[in-house]
Amino acid sequence: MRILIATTFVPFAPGTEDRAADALAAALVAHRPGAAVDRVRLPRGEHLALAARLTDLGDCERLVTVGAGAAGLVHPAVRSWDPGEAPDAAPSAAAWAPIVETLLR
Amino acid sequence: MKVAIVSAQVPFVRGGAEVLAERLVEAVRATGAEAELVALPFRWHPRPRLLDHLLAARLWRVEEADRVIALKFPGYLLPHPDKVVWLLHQHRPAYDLWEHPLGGLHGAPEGEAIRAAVRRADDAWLPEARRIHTISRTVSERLRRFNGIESTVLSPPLADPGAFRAGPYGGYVLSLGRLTPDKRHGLLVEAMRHVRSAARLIVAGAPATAAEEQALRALVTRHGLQDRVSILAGWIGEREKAELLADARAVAFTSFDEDYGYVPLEAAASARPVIVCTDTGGVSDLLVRDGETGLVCEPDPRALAEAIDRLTLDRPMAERLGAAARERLRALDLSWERVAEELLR
Repeated sequence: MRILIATTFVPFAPGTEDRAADALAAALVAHRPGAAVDRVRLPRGEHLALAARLTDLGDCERLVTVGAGAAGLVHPAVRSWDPGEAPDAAPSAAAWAPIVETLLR
Repeated sequence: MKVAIVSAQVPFVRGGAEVLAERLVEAVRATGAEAELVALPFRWHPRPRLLDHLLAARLWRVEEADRVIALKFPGYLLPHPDKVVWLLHQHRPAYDLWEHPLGGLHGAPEGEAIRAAVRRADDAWLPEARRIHTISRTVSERLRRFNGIESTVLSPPLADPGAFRAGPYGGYVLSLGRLTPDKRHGLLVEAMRHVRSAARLIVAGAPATAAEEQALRALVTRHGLQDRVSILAGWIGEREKAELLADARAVAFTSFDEDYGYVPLEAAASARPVIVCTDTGGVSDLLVRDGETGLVCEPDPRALAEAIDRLTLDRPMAERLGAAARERLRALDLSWERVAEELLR
C-alpha cells in the first residue's frame, strides 16, 4: 500500500504541521511494515488553493492531508488529519495505533 | 541569503535527480546561505493531468526566497524575480522522445496539444531565468535545437566521492539504475546470450513498476540465463552500491540518451571500466573514451557481448581502463563548491 502524507509549509520557517506529519509518517511505517510512505510539501502562497486543486496525487492508495492548507487536494481515498491530534512529545507506539487505524480504515 | 532549490517530485520515485537536489541543498548551505528544497508534485499520466501540473507550476509561490535554483520540468516554470535554472531535463516526450516508443505522447488523441503547450511554456517562461545552466552537453544541445535557448554546462559532481573504493576485479559486470525501459537492462540480458566468457551480469535498481521487474525476470528465464544473471530489485543504498561497484569486473551503462547519469562517475570513482553505447549520451561523452577509460559499442546484444568478453577475458585491460577512468574523473575536477558558487553568482 502506498500512503502519501501532504502538508503545506512556509519555506525557511519550520512549522508544527511539518513536524507532526513527519512523526505520522514514522508511525505509519512502524505500524504498516511493507507499506510505502512518502511526503509531499506544498509551499504556501497566494494561489495555494488553486494550485493544490490542480495537483494530482493519484499514484497512491491513500492520501492523508495534514492541516487546512492541504485540504484542497483531491483524491478518491483521502483522509484529513488534524495535527492537534498528535500524541504528546515522545509518544509510545501504542499512542499512535488508533490514529493509524483511523486513517487507514 | 535564502535559496530555494525547486524541483519536481514524483512520489515514491527516487533516483539520481533526487540525490542531486539534496546534495545541492548541502552545497548551498556550506556557503553560509540558508537553503531549502521545494519539491513540487508532478504526474504526467493520465496525459491531460500534465497540463494541470504545468499550470500549477505557474501558480506556486516561493516569495520567502531571495534566489530560486530550479532543476526540472515543471518546477523551472515557477515564477520568481531571481531565478537561475540548472536544467536536469525538460519534458522529453514533447521533444526528442516525441516519436520514440519511450515517449508515449505521439499518436495519443491529445498528444499534439500537450506537446504544443509544453513547448510554448518552455519558450515563454524558461527565458525568465537570469541564467540557464544545464547538467550536460546533451541537455544543452536539446535546449538549443528545440527552443533556440543558449545555456552553459555545469557538470554535477558525485554526491559523496569518498564513498567509493577500488576492490578486486571480480567476475561480474554490473548494471545499475532503475528498472525502466530507457535504462535498457533488457539489452544487456540479451547480450548475455552471446557472451562466451564466464562473465555474470548483476542488474541492480528499483523497479518503476512490478510489471517492469516481471518482464525483465521473464526475459532472463526465457533465455535460460538464471545462473548467469542476477536481478537485485529495490532501492540500492549507497553503501551496498559502493560494494557492488568495488568488486565488479566492469560496469555497463547502456541507457538510451541519458541526460547525465551518475553511474559512469561512480564506476570511475571505483576504478571500473565502463561499457556504454554510442547513443547513451550524458556524462559518458565526458568520461568514457573507447579503449582508454572504457568501451563504446553499438546498442546491439552481440556488440555488448563482445565488450563484456573483452573485459572479462583480459583482466589487465580491465584494470588499465578502470585506472584511466579514475584519473579522467580526477582530471575533470568536479566540485560542489564550484557548482554552488556558480549558481549563487
